Amino acid sequence: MKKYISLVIATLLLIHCKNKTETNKMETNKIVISCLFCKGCVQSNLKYIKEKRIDLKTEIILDSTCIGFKEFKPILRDLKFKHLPSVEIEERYGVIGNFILIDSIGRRVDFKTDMHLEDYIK
Amino acid sequence: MNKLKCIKNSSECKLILLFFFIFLFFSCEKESAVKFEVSEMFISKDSLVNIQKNMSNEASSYLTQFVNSASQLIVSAPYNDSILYYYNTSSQETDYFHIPFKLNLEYDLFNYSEDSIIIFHQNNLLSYRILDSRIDTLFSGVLEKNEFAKKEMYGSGILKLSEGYVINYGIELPEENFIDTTAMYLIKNKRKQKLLYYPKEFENYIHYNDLILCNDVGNIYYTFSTGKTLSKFNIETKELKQRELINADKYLTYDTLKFKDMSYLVEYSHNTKYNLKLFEFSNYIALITYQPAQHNTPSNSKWIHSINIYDKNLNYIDKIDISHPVIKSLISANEEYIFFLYPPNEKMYRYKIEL
Repeated sequence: MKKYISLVIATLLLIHCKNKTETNKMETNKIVISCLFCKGCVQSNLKYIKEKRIDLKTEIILDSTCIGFKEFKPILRDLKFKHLPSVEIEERYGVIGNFILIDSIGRRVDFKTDMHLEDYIK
Repeated sequence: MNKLKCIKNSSECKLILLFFFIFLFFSCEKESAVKFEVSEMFISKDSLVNIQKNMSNEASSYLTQFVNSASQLIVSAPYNDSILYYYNTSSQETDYFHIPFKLNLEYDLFNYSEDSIIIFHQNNLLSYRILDSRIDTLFSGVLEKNEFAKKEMYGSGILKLSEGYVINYGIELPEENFIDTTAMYLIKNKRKQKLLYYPKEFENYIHYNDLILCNDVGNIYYTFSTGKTLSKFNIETKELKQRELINADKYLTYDTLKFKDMSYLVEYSHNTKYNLKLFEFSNYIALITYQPAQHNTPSNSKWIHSINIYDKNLNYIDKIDISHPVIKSLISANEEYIFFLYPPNEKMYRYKIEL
């Protein structure tokens, strides 16, 4: 009987761990944003980040051009983000057209202009 | 005699012969077809502070225009919606004037000259006389529904001809919000006519199809930002003559299937060659270009700016590579010179070119 209980517990633990790994795989770890080339592409997605408070569970990295735009100031006011110079962003993440998502296991999604953050993060 | 023999057989003799051939080679090398002279002029930095403020913000750099005439040079920068700033290099003085209506800096077009500004505002083509603030309407209702005025990155979007004005415009497609085809309107004697259509390769994408043009009596010379050809269009006869530009392969062809991929756009925009300005002189056309000096990335870009000289039949003659820094919106010309204004080091570079 003891053996059966141990087996069930072990199985449950295994399933729990597996699920947790799956969940982590889907989690977005970082959103790196460059406003150098497509301000419009970024603006609506930044609003979505703020609205859904994605910044509280995901690291948001913005380049210097994003910080410089007057129109972005109201959005950025209460947003938790890290600022990196454009040169450093390029060194770490390569050339970014508008923004990228990097999940917890390092998978990267480069956003096209017709892709929306809400399709990836609810 | 013995001494001569000695020289003939020696290695010194071989060296002398080698130098002789090198000398012959260089003296036979084709002499440049273009003679040019560059002079540096001092420009007071204090007077240009406001313009520099404008230029320090990349987004507003397109608002700055630099106009030159035979007698004076004006640098103008609208820095809010109704004040225009200008600087006269002859007098080293700055001045401001108010336009009696609100400008839309994103959509309105401006073409400055010594005594007036041609403005495209709320679908009207207006002439604003600086001396007495008089405004004349040159044409009302320039654009049709779904058309929009195309602002050039480093030009005015309006070309002033001796007999009229050319407006560059695009057509917006509601589904995609992209240009289907674009053309120029010629406004002449209170009438307008469509002048030219963009070439097929520029359809369906909006990047880097800026029209770059200049004119002499009866002709418009034009190319596009990343266009491979130089064209000459006769307004009266409608005759169109085209020639491929020198090093045409350096102008990369944009893959329109990738127009939603911003990283492709970044890669493309950093590594294609560009046409920047066209100027017409009495016996030649000068095309200002810039091209990558290496494989460029946003944080590491090196460009070579050049003045390419073509004759009026569009034949390539020669080019001059520019060694000083260039601000793309601050290039101008009058009948004699090409000017490159560079406020950060208080200089203006003046080129005189002779064929």
